[in-house]
Amino acid sequence: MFGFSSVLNRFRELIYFEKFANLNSPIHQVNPLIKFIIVLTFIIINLMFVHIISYFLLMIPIIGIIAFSRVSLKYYFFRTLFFITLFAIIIAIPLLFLIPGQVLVRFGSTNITITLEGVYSASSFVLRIWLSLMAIMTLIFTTPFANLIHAMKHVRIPQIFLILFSLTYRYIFLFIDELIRMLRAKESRSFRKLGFRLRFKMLGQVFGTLLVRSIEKSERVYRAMLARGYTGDLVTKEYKTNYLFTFLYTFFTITAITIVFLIDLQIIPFFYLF
Amino acid sequence: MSNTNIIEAQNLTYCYPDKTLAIKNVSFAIKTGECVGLIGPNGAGKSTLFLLLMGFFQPKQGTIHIANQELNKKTKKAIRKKIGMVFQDPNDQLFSPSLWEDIAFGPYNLGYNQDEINRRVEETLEIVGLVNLKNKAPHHLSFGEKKKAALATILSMDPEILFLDEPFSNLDPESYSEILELIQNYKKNNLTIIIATHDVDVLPLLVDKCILLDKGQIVSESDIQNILTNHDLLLNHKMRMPLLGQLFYNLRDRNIIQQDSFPITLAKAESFIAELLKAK
Repeated sequence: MFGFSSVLNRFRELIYFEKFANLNSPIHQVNPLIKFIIVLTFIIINLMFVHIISYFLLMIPIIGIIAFSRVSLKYYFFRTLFFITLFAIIIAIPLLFLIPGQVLVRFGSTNITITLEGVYSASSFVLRIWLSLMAIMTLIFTTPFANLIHAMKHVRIPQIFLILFSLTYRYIFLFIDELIRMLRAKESRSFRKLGFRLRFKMLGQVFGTLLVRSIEKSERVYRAMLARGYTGDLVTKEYKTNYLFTFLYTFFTITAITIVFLIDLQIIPFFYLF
Repeated sequence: MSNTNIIEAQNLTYCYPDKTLAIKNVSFAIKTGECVGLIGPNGAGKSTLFLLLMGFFQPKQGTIHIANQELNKKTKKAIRKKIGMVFQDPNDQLFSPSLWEDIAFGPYNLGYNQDEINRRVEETLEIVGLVNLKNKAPHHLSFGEKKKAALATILSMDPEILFLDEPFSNLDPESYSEILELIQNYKKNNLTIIIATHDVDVLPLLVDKCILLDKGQIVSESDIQNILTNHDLLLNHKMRMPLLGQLFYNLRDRNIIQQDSFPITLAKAESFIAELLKAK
C-alpha cells in the first residue's frame, strides 16, 4: 500500500549517501579539507556568473569528479534533481511571473504574464542552486561524514555548529525510522477510509508524539554525553591523505574553475564560437 | 573484593518534577570490587537511582558518597570520571558520526593525548570484537553490535565503577553470550559493577549481591542466592525466580526433592542433579 510511511522510506534512501562515501577511488583519497575548500570555491564562483552557459560549463568538472569517483551517475543525478525540484523549482516558479520585461506568454486577457527576464531569472536561480547542490553532493558522495566533520573543524567552524550538524546526521535516520514505525503501526490498524480532516488530525498526533519523544531522546543523549565528561569539545578522527591525488585534484579543479570564470568574464573569447 | 565502601547512599529520596515519588528513603553501601544486581519491576526506580548516583538528579533528601567523596554540584564532574554508565538504549549512547569517535569521546574528555586515545580505542575495539566496524556510522550497526559498542564507549575510559542499565535486553543469544563474557572478564579485574535488570536468569552468573527495589524502596538486600530463591518475596514484587530455580522449587513443592537450598545456575544444577541421581 502506498502510504506516508512508504514516502518516508523513499526519503530515507534519498538521504543515505554512505554507500558511496566509503568507496576507495582516487577522489575518495583526496584530503577532505581540500575537497571542502574547493566546494566552497565552486559555490562562491557560481554565484558570480552572469551568463547561463557558464553554469553548464562548470558542471563539466563536477561530472568529471563524480565519474572518477566511481559513484553511480544515475544515483547522483537522481538525488540532485530530486532536491532541486523540492527546493529550487517551487521557489523559482513565481519569478517567471513577477519580473517585469518583454512578455512571452499572456494568460487570456489578464495581467498575468511570463516575461523573458522572468524566465532568465528563474532559470539562473535554479541553475545556481543546482550547481551548488551538485558541488555539495560531490563532497558528500566522496567523503565519509566523520572526515567531513574533521575537515570542518580544521577550518575553525564553531564546535557548536559541528556538534549540531553531527547529531542531526546521526539522529535523522533514527527519527525517520521511528516515524515510519509509528505510521506503520497506525496504518496496520486503519481498516476504513478516513476523512481528510481526521487523517490530518491523526498525522498531527503522530508528529506530536514524535516531538515529545525527540525531546526526551535529546535529554537522554545529553546525559550520556555528560556521563562521559562532555565539556563542549568535539573529538574527531585524523584521516589518511593521498598527496598525489590531492595535488592532481586541486590542480584540475582550480584550473577548470579559473577557465570557466574567465569565460564568464569574456576574457577567454568562448562566446564568439556561438 | 575489598572491605571499603566505594558507594554509600543514605536516606535517599527523590521526586520527579510532577511530584511522583521515585525513590523513597533508600540507603545502601557497595564495596570496592563488588558486583551487585539491582532488580525490580518496571517503574521500581532502578534507572532513576543510577541517574541520582551519576549526579544527574539532585536528591530531595539524603546523601551519596562515591569513592569517599560526597556527590554534589561541585564534585559531580570529578565523580563522573570514575563512573562509566551504559544506558539502556544504545542509541542514546552512540551519537558520533563513526564508532571510532564514539569510543574516543570519553578518553578525549578525560584529557588524554592523541596517542593514548588511539591506544585505548584500538584496545577496546579489540576487546569487544568490533575492530572491523570502527569506521562505521552507529546507525548501520545491528542492535547487538550497538550494545557492545555502547559498552566499549565506557570501557575505553577505564572507570572504577560500572553502571549497566538493562545490558541484556533485546539481544540475540550470541550477542547475549558475548556481553555476558565481557562483563564477567571485567568483574575479574576488580571493577565495581552494578547491573540493573529484569533478567533474573543471568544475574546468578554475574553478581554476588542483589538489591530488590520496588516502588522506589529497597525491599530486600542480600546474597543473590537468598533473594532469587525466595519465591514469595519475588512474586509479591512482580518478579519471578530464575527458570532453574523455579524448576527445583516446583519439584520441592511436589515433594520430589527435599533440599531447602537449590541451585539457580546451570553449572550448579548439573552437579545437583548428578548428586540426586547418584543418591537414588
